[in-house]
Amino acid sequence: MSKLNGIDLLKELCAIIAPSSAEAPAAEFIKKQVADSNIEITEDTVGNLVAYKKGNGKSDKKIMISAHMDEVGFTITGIDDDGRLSFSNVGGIDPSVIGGRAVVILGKNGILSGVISAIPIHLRSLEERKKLSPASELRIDIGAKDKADAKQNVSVGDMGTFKSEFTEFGDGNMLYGKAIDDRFGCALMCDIINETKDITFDYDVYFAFTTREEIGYSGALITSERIAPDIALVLESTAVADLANVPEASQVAHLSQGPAISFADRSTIYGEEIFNFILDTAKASNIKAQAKCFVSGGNDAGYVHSVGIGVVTAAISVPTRYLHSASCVIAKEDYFSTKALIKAIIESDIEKIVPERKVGAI
Amino acid sequence: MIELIRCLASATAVSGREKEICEIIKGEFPALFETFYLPSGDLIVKLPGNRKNAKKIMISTNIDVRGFFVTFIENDGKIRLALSDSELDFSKYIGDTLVSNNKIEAKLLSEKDASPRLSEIYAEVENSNIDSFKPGDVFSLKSEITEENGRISGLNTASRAVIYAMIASAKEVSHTHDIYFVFNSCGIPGGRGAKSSTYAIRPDIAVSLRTLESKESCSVLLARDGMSLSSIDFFDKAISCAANSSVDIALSATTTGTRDAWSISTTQTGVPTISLALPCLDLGEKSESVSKDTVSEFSKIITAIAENILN
Repeated sequence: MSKLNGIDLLKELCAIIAPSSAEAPAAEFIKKQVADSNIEITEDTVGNLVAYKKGNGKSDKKIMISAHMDEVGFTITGIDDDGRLSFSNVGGIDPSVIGGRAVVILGKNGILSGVISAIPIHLRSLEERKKLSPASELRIDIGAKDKADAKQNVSVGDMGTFKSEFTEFGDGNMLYGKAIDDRFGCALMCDIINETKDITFDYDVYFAFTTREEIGYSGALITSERIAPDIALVLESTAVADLANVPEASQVAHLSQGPAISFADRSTIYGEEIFNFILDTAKASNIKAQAKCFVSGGNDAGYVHSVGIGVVTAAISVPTRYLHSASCVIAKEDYFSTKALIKAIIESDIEKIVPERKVGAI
Repeated sequence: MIELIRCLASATAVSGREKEICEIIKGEFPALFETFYLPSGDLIVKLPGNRKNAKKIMISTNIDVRGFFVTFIENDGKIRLALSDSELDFSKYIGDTLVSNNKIEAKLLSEKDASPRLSEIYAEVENSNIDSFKPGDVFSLKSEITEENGRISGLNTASRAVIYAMIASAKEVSHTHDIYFVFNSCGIPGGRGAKSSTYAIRPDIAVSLRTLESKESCSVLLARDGMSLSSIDFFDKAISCAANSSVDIALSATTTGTRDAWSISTTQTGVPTISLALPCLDLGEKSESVSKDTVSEFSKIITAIAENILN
């Protein structure tokens, strides 16, 4: 396999079907992409993949940069007599983005295509039409004749994701596709690993491709416990609401304005020093970046920051419209701004904001 | 007492933004005390023991208070806010004064008279100050500390009085064992700091200090503190420590409060933990108050436990 980079790499990563706990295909792809890049790769029992890049010894600090490999999706919970599949969501999916969507299922004989079906509108009362159907009331139609036919290809517990074509649109700066959360971060890390393969940083750097973020951050917990970093940069995708009918104060962040840096979300209050340091670094390096202007969501940082004696942690997110849908929209230029910012941070004197490590000496 | 409590209450201490109050606390300790910070933002003051094979006693409290994060500054000067903790009932503070981390006062206002949503409230500052703010800044509710009839009153008085009592105890206590006075960050949103400190210190016994809405006039030893059950052996020893020091103590249990005790007791292989509370009235209100005598007694029982619980 030839190595890819930038948006081509992101496109291939987004095409991989890898919902939470079924990240192995993404991990395999990533391993090939970062091979021969002067890193040491390890995997653990829950599928986390860590690429370790040894520093030059000038600093004793460890930086962990992480992104999760998994994506939101579905797990099959039953097969009806007519061959349609009941399912539950894997991760938080807005019911409004599900109905009528094409999906793919990792069946026992290979990948199956399907469509999420609902009770037809003409059979629903006026009151029912005002409500969105939860996943429990929807089914996946895989074109099976009946239950027996469906069972030949699908079992309860099989998983799936949205089916979506990665597409450039608008003025060529806009992209949409499934799984941008968080193949964006994965692609970025692969790029940085490959682009810096002949450079040695002052710090030991761990690039952590984590599992199971969408179902409770457990991959990141295990990884950060093992690495015990001094500093963690969690690469993420953040929902934005930059729509005309949303008050500006609730719009979270804006596309094409660079990565959004969080001061707080539902899982973490980030340190003031690192929040300011990153925005200052971006400004000094003439890289676009913005503060995430809304407290919402949560991510791997929720566990990472509280590991051990605490980890100085930042969440750096690409602004994403329609997050957790089949058509997550980002601006291409935000990819390059984020990459430039991460590189600038690794090359900076960020260790100055970390208190001297005292564990063991106390 | 009131001067230090007032000083502590005026410092920024919104969860995750505790540096200012930490520096005030640190300044209370002469150079002979070993003080250091953790990446979590906790401040630890260590008093090394003078006996061979000294054990480790951790005495901790959370130092954070509820407040607001600045999320957005509108063109008309309205500063939009998020809560540092979802349990902050902001509606009862509409019209009150806020103080920012850069010490600029603001009014908490609402676009709606009754039951405003978070998106409908904002902070208003003088126009000349608006450029001083950016997303990520914080506002605290202004606390006016007063003293009357032997009681100290004002928002956050009780938790600031606990900090005062710890500082007073640290200056008095004789330490044959290693004693760690720990001022934890982010106690309100989940006990994060308490976990980090416990991990760093790995104590043999921990005493989690907190506040409690109670009419008791003496310190309250808690058999249960939220999800944490006090260590039975050390619970009994704490009662003995109080009796031997002629300090009154009441016994109780509660399911409310921060998760500090639970965080401490469940870190790594577990830590025997007891919870001791300073009783107060009107907890969380502007009229929150503590008895000065009870605060002094609270400091004494901390000292008694620190000196004797491992003997």
